[in-house]
Amino acid sequence: MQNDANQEELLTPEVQDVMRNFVAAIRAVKLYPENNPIYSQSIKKSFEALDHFLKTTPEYHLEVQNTYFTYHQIPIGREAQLDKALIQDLFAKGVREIIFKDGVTEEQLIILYRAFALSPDEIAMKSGISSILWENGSTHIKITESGLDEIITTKTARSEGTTPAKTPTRTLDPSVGKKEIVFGGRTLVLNDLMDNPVGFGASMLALATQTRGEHESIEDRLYALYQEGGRKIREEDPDQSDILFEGLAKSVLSLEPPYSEKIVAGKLYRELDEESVSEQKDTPEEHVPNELHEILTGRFSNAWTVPQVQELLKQSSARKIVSPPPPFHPSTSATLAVIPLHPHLADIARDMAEYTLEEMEALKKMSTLGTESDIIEASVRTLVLLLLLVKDPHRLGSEEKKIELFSRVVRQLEDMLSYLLMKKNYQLAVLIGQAFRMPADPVFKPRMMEAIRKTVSRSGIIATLGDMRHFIKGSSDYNAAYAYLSLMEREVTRALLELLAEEKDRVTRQFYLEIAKEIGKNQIKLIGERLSDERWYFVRNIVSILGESKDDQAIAFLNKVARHNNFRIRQEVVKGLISIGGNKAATLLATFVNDREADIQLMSIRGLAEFRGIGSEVAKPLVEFLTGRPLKKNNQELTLEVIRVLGKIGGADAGTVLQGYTRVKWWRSRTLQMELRSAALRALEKIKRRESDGGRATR
Amino acid sequence: MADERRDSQGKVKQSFFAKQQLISAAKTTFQHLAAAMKNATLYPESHPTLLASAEKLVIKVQELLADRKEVSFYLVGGELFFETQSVPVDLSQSLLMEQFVSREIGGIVFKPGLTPKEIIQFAGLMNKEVAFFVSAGGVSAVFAQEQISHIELHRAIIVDKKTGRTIKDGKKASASFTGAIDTVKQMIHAVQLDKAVNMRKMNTTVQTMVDDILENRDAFIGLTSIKMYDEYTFAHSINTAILAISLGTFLSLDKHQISVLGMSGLLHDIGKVSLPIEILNKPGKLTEEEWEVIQQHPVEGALVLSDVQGVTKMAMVTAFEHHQHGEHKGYPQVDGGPRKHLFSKIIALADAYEAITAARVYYRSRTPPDQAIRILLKNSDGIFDPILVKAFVNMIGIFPVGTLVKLDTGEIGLVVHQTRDLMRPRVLLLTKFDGSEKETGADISLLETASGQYVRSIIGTIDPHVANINVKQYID
Repeated sequence: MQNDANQEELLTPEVQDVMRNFVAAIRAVKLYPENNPIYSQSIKKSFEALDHFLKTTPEYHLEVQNTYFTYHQIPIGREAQLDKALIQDLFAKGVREIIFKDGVTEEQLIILYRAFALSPDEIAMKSGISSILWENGSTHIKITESGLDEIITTKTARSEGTTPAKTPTRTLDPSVGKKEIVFGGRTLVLNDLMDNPVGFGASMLALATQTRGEHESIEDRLYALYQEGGRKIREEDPDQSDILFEGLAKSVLSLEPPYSEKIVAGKLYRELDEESVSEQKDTPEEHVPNELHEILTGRFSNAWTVPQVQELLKQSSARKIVSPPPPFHPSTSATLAVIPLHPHLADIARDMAEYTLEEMEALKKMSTLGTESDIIEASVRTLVLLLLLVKDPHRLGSEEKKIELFSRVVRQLEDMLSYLLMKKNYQLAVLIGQAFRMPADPVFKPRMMEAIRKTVSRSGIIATLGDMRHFIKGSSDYNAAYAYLSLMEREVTRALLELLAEEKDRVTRQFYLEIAKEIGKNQIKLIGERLSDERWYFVRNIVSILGESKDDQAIAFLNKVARHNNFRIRQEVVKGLISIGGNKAATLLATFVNDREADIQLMSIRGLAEFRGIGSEVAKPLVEFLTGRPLKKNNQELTLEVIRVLGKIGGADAGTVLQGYTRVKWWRSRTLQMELRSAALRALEKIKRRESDGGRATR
Repeated sequence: MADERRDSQGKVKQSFFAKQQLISAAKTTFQHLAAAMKNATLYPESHPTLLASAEKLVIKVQELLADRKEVSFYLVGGELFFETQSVPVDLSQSLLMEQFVSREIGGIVFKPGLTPKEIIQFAGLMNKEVAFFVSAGGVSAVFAQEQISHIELHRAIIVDKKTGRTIKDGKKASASFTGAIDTVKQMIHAVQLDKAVNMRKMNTTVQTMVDDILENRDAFIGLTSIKMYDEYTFAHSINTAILAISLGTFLSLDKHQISVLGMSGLLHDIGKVSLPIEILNKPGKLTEEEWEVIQQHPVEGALVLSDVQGVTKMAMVTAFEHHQHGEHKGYPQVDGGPRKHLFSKIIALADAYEAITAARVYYRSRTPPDQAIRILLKNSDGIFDPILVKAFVNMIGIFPVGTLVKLDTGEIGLVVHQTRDLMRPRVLLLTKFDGSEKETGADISLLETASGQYVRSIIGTIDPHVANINVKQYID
């Protein structure tokens, strides 16, 4: 420590000043928004200090250690604990060295500080801080990042367990052993081909070196010799040609790499390719790009096998021997062969000269592509397609391999989903969610289920709900977030129920309720189970959700709380039954005519009046209600409503009771009786009409 | 995206769309100038026709002045430039250009405040003989005398444009190219051996290529035409990247977009590393099943790249899509038809052009360089995006850099640079076909005219091997 302190004293005040302002600026950009004065002032001060320093020194060179900076190997600011976390962050992001050069601008510093403020994921997505600086033309700042050695792993079919076929050891017929190949005066013994292919190859190389023509390369001569050798084998030893060509192949492969590569890749395969081209019916250019080109551009490996080279040598020896290049004769411009221009070339050039308006518009749109968001969208779509293709049963590869690849793609999608959710990009998040829920073979299912489990966290759901609160309802963002939540109906419903129970703010609760009503439509059982909760307001919300479901299944649950002590809940039940509709709901609704709250009675009867197509058995509680009902002013409104409803849904029983209301008794209130009589007569008329047409009329 | 945006140095960067609009406006302005000059020879100064043409010119100049301090035209090597943009001109305007050149005028600048009267005076003066200016003490003196204060003339610029300019710091294009091949080789070999690949190095390689191509696109385009068979497997990726980057720079994409294209070009065939070597090295024709295995490489490539940090995810997308050509065409086939990203289309186009030109070189077919363009155009309905093909053709030219052409004067030229007229590139005249060292011939533009007619025109192409010309030494 003392040593460090002493060393730090060696640093000039200017160096330390730059460092301090540099650190302050990094911190300010990380913590404050752009419009905060601290943000802009820190950057300005940092630039001024650096600019001042660089007037006298060509560069400012910082190394980033684990928890401190060094300036030309001297630790700086080691004691400042405040900086430690910041430096650790830079170190963790891979920054190892920062060099500022004379000419650095304030704009370049801003770009650097903003890059430092990005998360590691964001930095990785932009291929590193140095890439960010390069893209923005920040040429006076150099960043060295830690070697990010990424492994691109791929297993070729060979390394998957397949081994090249072992060439069986064969022996040469002794009668052939002494045979020779004569090359222009020199003799090579065939026996060597199998006994000592390396030696044979060396001899061939020596022969090529000695006998090549003035304008001929060693490789060309060597190749010609092998061709000649192959031809002689075919002509003079056809019975042993297999084994001899095998030896020939071994000798080629034993040559030093430049020669072996030249012969195999440069000559043998080239001949093969040219022959393939000449055999094609179309001109090679018509097929863009053609099969041969795909193979040619895939021959990365020079791990040729003996059988492959053997076959190539056999084919080559059957072809005409390549002659040495003809002696060179200089040409003049007049003697050179000219390929005339295509007759339509000028027209083509003219067509290319101008862009139409439509073409210009299309080109304009092109400039918006290749941005980060665009790349992410394209990546998501590609990964989703890969998920499908990896599962393809027609695809080659073992099942283990397919599962491994599948798992890899799923992992990528999981990472992508986390990123998208962080960025609130629900449009793409939905695609990934749907991909995870695609049908899959049993062997892939566990991994899909695991992915789904990872993505349905309560905190994630709450975060999405929080985002939805800030989106405008009906906007594309809102709809996308909703669609994303809809993928997790059960989990979201559960979370919403819990939130409804806990939330104190009324507006927020209303928001949750609205969503729950939509998403919870298919989760009746889950919702209904919560009716036994002690909190009346919670139960009321549950009843509301059940009512909005418009599902008959909900009626059974509503029945459980039809006699709840709290009138608000009973009211909500009535509303729910009205919302659900149908015979079953009407039957339960009718029983509310006996509710102890007059408002609820009235509400249920009025609601019943709106039902269509319900049976007369529903009217039974109403008939019972009217039977012996006292004539009172307080009762009048409800009695009238019941009579009206009975007119709509009642049968013979109702008619009997309604007849009683048509007779006016002199000892009772005439006004009230006349009102009831009038209503009863109308109701009876409706019942009569309904019964006469066999109930065909809509009630 | 705005048509104009400023980079970190505060320089304005125009989109391709904005550039094309500017070129169109400049062309119209020059046409009005030509019309005014012509009318000045036919009508007296007060004639309504002449006045009208002068007014039209002033209006056009004022439109251009809305975004700049002055409107500048330059005549360089037979080409018309508006600021730094080459402007296509018809043969009818070439007489005007010759007129300016004969008076050693290399640039005309119009300033704010220009009036029709000044235009008419200027036109009248320009139609005087050269001797008039000499006796009057020069053009500037005459202008001052006539009170033409809003038109400035500059002397002719002598162009000594050498082919294959070296890149900054003295590095040749071929050195960058070779370096890139080495990097790709290292990457491929590392992949084959399941070793770590330094993706940072790949990123740096791409960024260097982008910087170099921005500096000297012609040299790199020329290098792509020199197919090195022995290295072709690796060079193909580099060539595809160069072509894609070049098209990206031509379309005025920003550096980030261009570097994404470059990386995508480098890695588009990475999936082939996963293919069975036995099939790739098979010494015979592939069966249907084996070809289907080859067709797996886009999926394999995408799978490989999906799991790599530090490389743009667009490389995965383009590796996957570059062989998809609409529903039921190409591979891999996906339900509902492919949804090909623009960058995949660019890579597909570059890949195809590479394949066509490779075939021409490797398989010794006597097909001319322009045939590649015609093949692309033929396939632009269905396989390639027609708009991209058009942009690509304009970028690379009908006679790409490195093409040997025969002129109607009997001369032989080597194409060194494209102009706005695809039939009239800049060429280096060659005279020696004896395999001797590189010669420094005259660098001329086929746009040059005399008495309103082009001095030279292309009548055919020549195979450089037949002519014993080492094109590489001229490009590098």
